[in-house]
Amino acid sequence: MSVMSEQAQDVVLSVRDLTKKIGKKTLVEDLSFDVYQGEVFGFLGPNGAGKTTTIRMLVGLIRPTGGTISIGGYDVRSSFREAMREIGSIVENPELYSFMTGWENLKQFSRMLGDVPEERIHELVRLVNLEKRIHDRVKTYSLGMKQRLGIAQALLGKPRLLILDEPTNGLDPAGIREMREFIRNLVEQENISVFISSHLLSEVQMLCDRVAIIQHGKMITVSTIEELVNSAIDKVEWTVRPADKARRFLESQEDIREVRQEEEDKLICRMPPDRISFIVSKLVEQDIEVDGVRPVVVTLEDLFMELTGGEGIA
Amino acid sequence: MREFLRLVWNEAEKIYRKKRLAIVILILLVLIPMFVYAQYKEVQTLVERLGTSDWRVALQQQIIDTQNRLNSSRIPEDWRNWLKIRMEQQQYYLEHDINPNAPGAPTFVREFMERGINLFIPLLVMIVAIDIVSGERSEGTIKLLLTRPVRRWKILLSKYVTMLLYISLLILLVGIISYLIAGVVFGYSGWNMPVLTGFVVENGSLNTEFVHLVPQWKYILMAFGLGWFVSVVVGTISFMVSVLIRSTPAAMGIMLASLIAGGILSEFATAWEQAKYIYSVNLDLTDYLSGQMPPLEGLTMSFSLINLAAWALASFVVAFMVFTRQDMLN
Amino acid sequence: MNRNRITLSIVVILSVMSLGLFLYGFVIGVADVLFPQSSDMAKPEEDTPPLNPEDDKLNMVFLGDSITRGVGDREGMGYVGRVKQALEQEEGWRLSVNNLAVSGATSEDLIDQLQQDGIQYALSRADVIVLTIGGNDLHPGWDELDTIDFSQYRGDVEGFSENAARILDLIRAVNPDSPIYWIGLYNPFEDIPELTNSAAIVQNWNANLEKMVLSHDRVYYVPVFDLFRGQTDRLLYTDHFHPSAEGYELIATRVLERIMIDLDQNRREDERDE
Repeated sequence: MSVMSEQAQDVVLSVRDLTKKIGKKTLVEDLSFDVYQGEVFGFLGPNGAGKTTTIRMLVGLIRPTGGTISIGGYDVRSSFREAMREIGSIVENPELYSFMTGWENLKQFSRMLGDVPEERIHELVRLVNLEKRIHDRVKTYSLGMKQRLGIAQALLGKPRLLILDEPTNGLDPAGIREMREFIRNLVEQENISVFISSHLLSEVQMLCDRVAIIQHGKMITVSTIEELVNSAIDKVEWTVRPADKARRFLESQEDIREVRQEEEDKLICRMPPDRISFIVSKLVEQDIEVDGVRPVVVTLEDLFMELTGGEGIA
Repeated sequence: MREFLRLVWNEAEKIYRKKRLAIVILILLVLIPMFVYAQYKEVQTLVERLGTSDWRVALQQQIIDTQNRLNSSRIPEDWRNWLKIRMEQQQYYLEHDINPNAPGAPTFVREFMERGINLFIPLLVMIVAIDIVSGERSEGTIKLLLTRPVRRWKILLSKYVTMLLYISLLILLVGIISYLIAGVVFGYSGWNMPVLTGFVVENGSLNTEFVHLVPQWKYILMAFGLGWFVSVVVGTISFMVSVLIRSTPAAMGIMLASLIAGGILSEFATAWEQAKYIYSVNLDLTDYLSGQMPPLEGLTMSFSLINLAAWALASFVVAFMVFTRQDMLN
Repeated sequence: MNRNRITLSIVVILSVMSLGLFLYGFVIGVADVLFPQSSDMAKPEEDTPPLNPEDDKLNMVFLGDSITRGVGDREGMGYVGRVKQALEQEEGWRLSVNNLAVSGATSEDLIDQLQQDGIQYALSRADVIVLTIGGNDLHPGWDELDTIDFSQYRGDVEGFSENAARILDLIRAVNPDSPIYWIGLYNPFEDIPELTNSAAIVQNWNANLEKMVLSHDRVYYVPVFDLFRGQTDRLLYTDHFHPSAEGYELIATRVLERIMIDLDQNRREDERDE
C-alpha cells in the first residue's frame, strides 16, 4: 500500500468545487472540504446559506451543477449505489412512514439495503432506546423519538459517515443534551464520522472537532473548533455603578475591547471569559458596585461579522 | 431480481398499511348495494308496467317503444342511430331466443363492468394510484427512499409494478363483491348462460355476420380483461401525474377533470372528430364487445386500443424521465 | 404485526393471480372483437325453460298505430292505459298489458311486424287482442291534402281489406282462440269546410272493415265514429287529428264495454263448469 492510498482511505467525504445553480440563481458555489474518518464535522451557516442544498447534493437528492462529491472513494453520481452504502442520513426532519410502526419502518429500509440481519435491527433499537415503543405506529411518536428512529434507520447499513441535518431542531433542552451525548457515544463506539449541519455555533462548538462555515453559498472558513473559538472573543455584559468609572477602567485593560454603554448602568465589552473573575475583583477594589456579570453568547451572525469584515470596526 | 422483489414488497406494504384497499372495499360495499337496488327497482317497474316478468314480452315492448321514439322527428341524428342499433341488437337477441338481461348475479357483474368502465372503475384506480409518488413527496419520505443504495429507476419501477398488482386485485374485488351482493337479490346462478357477442357497427348500421355465442363467464372474463386494461392505462396516467405534481389533491383534480371531460366530450363533441384522441373518450372498450354504437365517429376497437396504449406508454416514459432526473428540492 | 404480514402475503399472491387472469381476459377479449369468428350459432345447451304463462293474469296485447300508442293524450295514458286502469281497479282483474303499437304504422307495417318472433310470441300468449289500424292507410299525409280531389277520394278500400284479412290470418296462426277487438276509425276532418265529404269516406271505410271482420270467428268490430261526430273540437287534440284525453276516455269506455261482454260470459261459463 502506498502512502497516497492510505491517506485517501482516511478521507470519508471529499467535496471539490461543488456548485449548484438553478436558473440564474447560484445556491452553492465552489465548496471544497474533506471529512476524515472518526471526526465530527460541523457545517455552519445561517438559515438560507445553502446548507440543506449542499446536504441534498451529498446524498444524491439534487444533482450538482458542477464539482464532485466522493464518499468513501466512490463518486456519488457515477457510483451512486456504492456511495450510498457508505452513508446514513437524516435530511431535515426525520420523516418516516407515520402509518407504519417503527419496526416496520426499519424493516422497509433494511430491505432496501439487501438483507440486514434482524439482530442488527434489534441492536439499533436498543441503541436508540426505543425498545418499548418500536411496535407502535410512528404517528404516535414524539419528535425526539422520531429523531432517534431516524438515526437508527440511518445506521442500519453500518455506514462510515452519518449525515445529520440540524439534528436538534425542535428538540427541548433535555432532548438536545440527550442527542449530543448520543452522538458523542456513537463516534466513540462505532468509529463513525458524523457530518452535522447547524445554524447554532454553541451546538457545533460542543460537538464538533472541525467546522466549516458557509454564507450565501460560499465557504468562509474551514477550521478546528479551537481555532474558531480563539478567533471569536466572547462579549460580556456588565451591570455596574457608577458606569463611567467602570468604563474607564475596562477601557484601560489590554485584553478588553469594544466597550460600549448600552443603558445607564449597562456596559458591553469583548473580553476572554476566563478573565471575568479577575476583572470583578479589580472593580470591587475600586468601589465600583458590580450588580451583574453576564457572558453574552456570540451568535453565528456576530461571528460572521467578525469573519466577513466586521473586524475592522474595532 | 431479489432486490427488486423486496422493493415491490415494500411498496405493497405501504399501500396496504395506508389502508387504500380498505377504502376501495368500503366504497364498493356502500355503492354496490345501491346499484343492485336500482337495478332491482328497474326490473320491478318494468314488470309492473307490463304486468309480466316474461323477458321476451319485456324486450319486445322495449323494441316497440324504441320504434316509437324513432318515429318522433325531434331526436338528434346520433341518438337516433344509437337507438336504432340497440334496437336491431335487441331484435337479434329476441329472434335467437336469448335473454340479454337474464336476472342473476353474473349478469349484474357483467353490466356493472360495462357501465363502470369509463368512470367508476377509473376513479377507484385513481384512489390507489394517485399518491403513489406524490404522497412520498408531500410526506417528505421521498428523502429516505432516494438516499438508499438503489437506483431511482428501480424504485419507480417497483412502485409501478406494485400499482399494476393492486389494480388487478381491485378489478378482482369489484367482480367478487358485486357478485356476492347482487346474488342476494338476483340469485347466484347464470355463469353458463349464453351471451351474444361480435356485433359490428358499420356506418351507423348493425352487421350481425360475426355474431356468436359465448357463455356468460367467458364474456365476463373478456369484459373484465378490457376493464383491467383501461384501469392499467388510467393508472399509468395517474402515475405520471403523481410524479409531476407534488400535491396529491391537485393531482386528483387533474385526473378527475380529464376523466369527466371524456364523458362530456362523448356526449357533445360528435362534430369535433379530433376529440377521439383524448384518452378518456376511448375508455368504453366493452362497448365494442357488446356491439354498442361508439360515442364518436371513427372510434373502433383497434383505434381505442392503440390510442390508450400510446397514452400509457407516453405517460410511462415521461414519468421515468422526469423522476430519474428530478432535483428533490424540498 | 405478524398478522399484517400474512394478510399482505395473501394480498400479493391474489394480485399476481388476478393480474394473470385479467391479462388473459384482455387478450381473448381483444381477439374476440378484432378477429371475430364467423357465426356458428350453436343453440344454447341449457335452453331456458319457457316461463310459465301467468295463468292467473289476463294477458292483453294491443297492436296498431298512434291511436293505440296514445298520441295526443296529455295524461299519457291513451285508451290502453284507461282500459287497463278500469279493468284493474273497477273489475279487479290482474293484467299483463303489452302495447306493441307503433305510431305512424299502416296495415302494411303491421303485417311486417306480425312476422317477427317477438310479436308472435307475445300474441301467442294473449288472452285479449285489441288493435287500431287503417287510419294511416286512409288519411293521406298533410302534404298531400291539397293535391287530392276529395269528391272522388275513397282511399284504397280493397287493398286495405286484403291487408286486414292477412292481419287476422297472421294473428290466428299463432293465436287461434282469443278474442280480437278491432277499433274502427273516427272522422277527424268534419270541421274542415273543404273536406265535407270526409264523413262519407270514413263511413265507407268502416263499413267495409266491419263486413270483413264479421266473416271471422271471435273477431269484433268496435265502432268509434259515432262518439266523435259533432264533438271533434272537444275530443280531438290540438293537432286536429289525434284524440284528446277526453276522446281517449270515450274510446276506452266503448272498448271496455265490448270486452266486458266476453269477459263476463267467460266468467259465467267458468262458474258453471265448477
